[in-house]
Amino acid sequence: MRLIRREEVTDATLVSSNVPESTAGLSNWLDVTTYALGDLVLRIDPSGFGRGYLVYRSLQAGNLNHNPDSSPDWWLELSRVYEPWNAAVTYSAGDVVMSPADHRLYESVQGANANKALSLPEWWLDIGPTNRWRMFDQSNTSQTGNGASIAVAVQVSGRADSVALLNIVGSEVRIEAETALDGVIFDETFNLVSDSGITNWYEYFFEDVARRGDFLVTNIPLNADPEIRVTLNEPSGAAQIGTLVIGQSRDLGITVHPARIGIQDFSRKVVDDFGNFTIVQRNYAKRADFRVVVEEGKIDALSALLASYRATPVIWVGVDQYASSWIYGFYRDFQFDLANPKETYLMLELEGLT
Amino acid sequence: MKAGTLEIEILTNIARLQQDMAQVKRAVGDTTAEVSRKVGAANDNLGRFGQQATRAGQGARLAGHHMQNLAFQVNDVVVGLASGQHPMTVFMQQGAQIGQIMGQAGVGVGGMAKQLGGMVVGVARAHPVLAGLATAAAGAGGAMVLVTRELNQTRAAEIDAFAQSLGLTKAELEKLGEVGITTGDVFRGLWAYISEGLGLDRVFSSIRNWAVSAFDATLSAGKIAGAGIYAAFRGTYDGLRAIWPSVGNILAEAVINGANRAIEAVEGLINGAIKAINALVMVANPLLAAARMGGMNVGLGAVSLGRLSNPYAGAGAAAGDAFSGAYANAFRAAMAGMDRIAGEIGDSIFKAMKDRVTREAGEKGLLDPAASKGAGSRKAAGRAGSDAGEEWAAQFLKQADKALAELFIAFGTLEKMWARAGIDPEADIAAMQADFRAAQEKRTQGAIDEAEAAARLRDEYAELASILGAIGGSGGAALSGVLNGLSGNYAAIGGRAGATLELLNRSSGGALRDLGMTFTKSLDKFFGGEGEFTKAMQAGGAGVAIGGMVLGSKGSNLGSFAGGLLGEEAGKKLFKSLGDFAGPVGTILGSVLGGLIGGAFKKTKKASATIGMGADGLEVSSLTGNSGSRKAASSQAAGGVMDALAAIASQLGGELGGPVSVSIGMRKKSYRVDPTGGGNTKTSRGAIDFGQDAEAAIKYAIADAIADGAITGLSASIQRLIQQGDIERQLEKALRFQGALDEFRERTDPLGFALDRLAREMEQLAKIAQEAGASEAELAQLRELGVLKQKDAIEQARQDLLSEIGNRRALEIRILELLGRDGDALAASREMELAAMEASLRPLQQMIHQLEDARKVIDTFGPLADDLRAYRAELFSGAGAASFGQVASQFRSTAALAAQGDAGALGQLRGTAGSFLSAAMENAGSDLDYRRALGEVLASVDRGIFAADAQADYAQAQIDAIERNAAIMTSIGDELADKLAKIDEAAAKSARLLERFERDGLTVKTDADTPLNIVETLP
Repeated sequence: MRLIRREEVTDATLVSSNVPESTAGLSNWLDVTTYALGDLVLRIDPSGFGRGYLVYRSLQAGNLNHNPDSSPDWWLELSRVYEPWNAAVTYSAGDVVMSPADHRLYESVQGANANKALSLPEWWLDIGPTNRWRMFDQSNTSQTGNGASIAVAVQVSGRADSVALLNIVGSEVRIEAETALDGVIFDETFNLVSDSGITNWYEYFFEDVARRGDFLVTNIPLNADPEIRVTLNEPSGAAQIGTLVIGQSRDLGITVHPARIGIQDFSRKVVDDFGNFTIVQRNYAKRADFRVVVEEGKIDALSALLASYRATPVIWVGVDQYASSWIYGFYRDFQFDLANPKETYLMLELEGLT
Repeated sequence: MKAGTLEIEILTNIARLQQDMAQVKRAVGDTTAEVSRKVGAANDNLGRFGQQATRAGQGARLAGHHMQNLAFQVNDVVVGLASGQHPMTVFMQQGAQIGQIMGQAGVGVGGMAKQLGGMVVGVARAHPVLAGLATAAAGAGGAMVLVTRELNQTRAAEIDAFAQSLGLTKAELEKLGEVGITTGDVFRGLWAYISEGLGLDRVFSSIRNWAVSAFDATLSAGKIAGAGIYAAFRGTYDGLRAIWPSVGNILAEAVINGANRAIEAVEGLINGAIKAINALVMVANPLLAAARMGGMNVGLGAVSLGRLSNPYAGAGAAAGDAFSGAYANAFRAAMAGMDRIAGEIGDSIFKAMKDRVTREAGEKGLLDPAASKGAGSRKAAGRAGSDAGEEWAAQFLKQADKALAELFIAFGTLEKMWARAGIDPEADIAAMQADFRAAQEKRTQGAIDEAEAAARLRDEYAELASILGAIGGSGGAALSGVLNGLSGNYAAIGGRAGATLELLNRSSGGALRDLGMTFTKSLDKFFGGEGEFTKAMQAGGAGVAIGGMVLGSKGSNLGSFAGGLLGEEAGKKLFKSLGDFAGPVGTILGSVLGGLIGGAFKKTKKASATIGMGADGLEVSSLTGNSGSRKAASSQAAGGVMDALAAIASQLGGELGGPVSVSIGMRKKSYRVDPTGGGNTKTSRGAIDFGQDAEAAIKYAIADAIADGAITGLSASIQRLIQQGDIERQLEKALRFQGALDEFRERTDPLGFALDRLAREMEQLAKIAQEAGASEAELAQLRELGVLKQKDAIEQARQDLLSEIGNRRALEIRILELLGRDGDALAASREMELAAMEASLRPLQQMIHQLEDARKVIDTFGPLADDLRAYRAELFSGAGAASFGQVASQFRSTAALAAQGDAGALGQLRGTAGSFLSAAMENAGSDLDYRRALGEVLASVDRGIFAADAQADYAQAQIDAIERNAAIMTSIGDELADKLAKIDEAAAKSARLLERFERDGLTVKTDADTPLNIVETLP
């Protein structure tokens, strides 16, 4: 059993990201312009949602007069972005703007919305972080998505030996760690095809190939102040990451039986007197109860550690091999059970974020 | 532009503002006390503004009742428009009445010209024909030019067909000339359409065709001006409605803009009329000279009216387009309406054209029956041609048409020449005016000299009369009296004869005085025979007697008149009883008859007056005799008999309607009565001699007439009483008996009795008024008094009846209440309440009853409905998408109304929003969904707060704007009143000057109140 203490990612520590955040610095595609490989252009989102734009990346050099909307060989759709809020613009109800200050998106609640601060709830509705920053919020559900790959680099202040990727969609992930003093100290690429449940050749050949939704690395060398780069690739579509946690792990002990893992469903299911259900599907959160064998001598340290992380989301890893025992959340309760002089247990009730 | 027009718009806007303020009050009144307070303040300020506006109107010389009438009229216009009537229809219906009201105030269509165009009024007064033209132009609003042009275009085929139907050959057609509709045809057709409505047939009959072009031009101006005036009213109304949501300072701009539009339109009307009149005068003078009719003055300057300064210009730049659009729409509607009128009169015009062409063809001999292919038309033309007068008129019109056309062409050429030569026509006209004025002054001086000479002669007579009066003696007094009479001072004659003459002078409207002054010019004619003095006397009522007395037969002289006066005393003794019997009039008649008797002493004469029943009542059916004085005496005695009969009939409640046949007269000195009505004065022929006892003769004649059955409508018993024995005693009995009968009827049928008595009273008053020569207005007042008194009598009778039955009814109502029949009791109570109320107030009371019933229903069922509505909401308050949709819909509907300032929605917003959020909480798929709902609620609440604040701020902004407007309007009104006063002054001066010119040779009035400065130039 271990926990991974989350390293806060901020503007200062996010070194780079290939996920566009807004229209700032980008231009609309022009049919008279020849674009080079890797150039980014904007196209108005054809769905018309929230006054948004789609960002395309040129896949080839000499890219001239190939409409991104209909030229997948020339352009790769990355993600949807919105304009930064502008006091001089009058927004209609439903328009979405991006706030560079807090990296969040806001939806206009009323029409004729001109020069109304984003802090006014009667005018703007906070609809969450921008696409680039969704992987760093405290929701496991909201995902960052980007065409083909997501590549971020985070400067860690101190040490970090673990990287956790939760609620992801991708075929492989590459983790790199590099320090200024030592250079590259970790560089490994992991295939995300899941072998869970494949226990015989029949299943190997005939079961659908499943990918891992969660991924965890805990053996990055503990060199000081590393820059950790995470690259998630998804060649057939958009790579997506629900939560990216970089931090230092702490071994609590050994998870033993009995343990319970499951989810708490927040969906609303009401049945009337005639058996008719009214169902509103909502998010769910992981729940787990673990029994961990700890060394009696660590009780004080562990107790202080756990107390310091009260109501603070961290990654709880019940069993490294089972992703279903990984919970990004906090404990509801913990108790030390000093069963006998040689047996000390840490009883953890965990609940995950949605 | 006059202040009255501003008043119209101001009052219209006040009405609109008050209406909208009432809506505002209803909308927000229940929301907060603060808003209610502000709205109340707004209404107070509006009231003050209305008072200021009324004062401004009074300051503009419009009487209060005229303004009130105008306000009602404008209200009718607004109501008409609001009810969906076509604007043009409303304007045409109400415009004429507005014009009438403005006319009462002295600022009507003609009066408007009087107020604004001093030059126009001078010519209009001197030439009422032109005033008729201008009135017709403004009233009809047809566009002569356009109509002519359009008819020629659209009816070309019909015109050609008509020409062909005449059966003329090609050569004949060419000889006839172009068959088309001339302006004259249009004019005649238009006149046929409007003459009856305007009642100007008589005026028009004096118009010659040379007036057509003037009318043509005036109509063109009238059409544009009329449309402009209408558009100013209607456009302002629509414009205000369009910009109302953003009204503020815009209101001020719109009002002033509308006023300026009206000023512009009126100015166009005046200047159009001035231009037409100038042109008319220039071309008409040669024609008038040829017809030996007097010429007219010429050269009227254009009128320039000041516009209202507009400090709010640009305040409604955005709304200005909407306002201008409204004005343009109204203008187009007005023009279309006028064109429609033109279309309606098209048939009349076309008929006029046919008549003209037919007539001209007849005149040219083209419709000779022998060569006719269209016998019917030629026969009609032949008949027309056979009328010599008609032919002359046709020739005259034709020549005038031709001359007019040529003159107009010449005039147009002249204008072009002037333009090319750089000549200033206005300066030339001014010079011509100066020359003309000098010539007029020179000519008028002769009349002035003549009048002054007459005045000196009159003074000399007055002085002579004074000297004769001082001499004393009957001869001197008589001569003095006559001379005073000649100078018009009848009162100075003295004595009863003088009083009589003065009375007659007054009753003849001063005709005697005027005649006396006229006679000073020709004494020989005065003394020579029965001239106009006699006629005036006859017009005065007793003129026959006086005329005969003073002038006698042809060849009488001053001596006969003096003799008549000398016999006055004898006559007074002889006819004292008659004077007493007939009252004050009898005294006068006594003196008059005294004079007659005095004259009668000179020779033996006889006369008899026969009384009969004519179509209008009793009358002297015949007056025979050989002596004028006896005739007069007989006539007066007969008059006494008739008056007495009328008095008796009135006293007894009867009427004069039965057969009468009795004669009363004189033979020598004796009064004679012929009961057969044969006019005999000889006793041998059945006449009864009463000697000099005129009273006895009159009494006998009265009794005989009663016996004949002169008085009808009496009961048989009363008839028997008055037909038996001595008339005076029997009358006394009859009156006592009739009094008893009347008392009985008054008790049993009080209303009928009161109405009968009132009818008799009013009948007597009507006769007195007729005798007094009352004017039509006085007669109308008398009739109105009768109606009022009739209403009073009915009301009194009703009240008496109610007081009788009231107590019993109250007991019945109480019984109904005790029986539990509250509805019946209430109905009976209301019935009593209405019965005790004045009739004019009953509809209001009935409305109150209805409202009370309605309120009771609301109070009863309103809570029930609310309760059921709440229960219904509970039924749908369960979870589920369907109920959430309903709640969301209800919330959004309420929020939308609240955002518009609906007070009810504002009050419900909190509750519906809470329900919506609760439902959203239940149904949201994510927190974002719920927060989105929360944001929607926040936005709605925010809009609701803004709407509530806006209502209050809006009301205050209106108050501020109106206060600013009021101040500006007041100052404008003062300025306008000052300008109007100056215009009035100039107009009056011009009118006096022109009047003197037109009355060449007559006296010049130089009263001190309106001095005439003859050297001052025309403005």
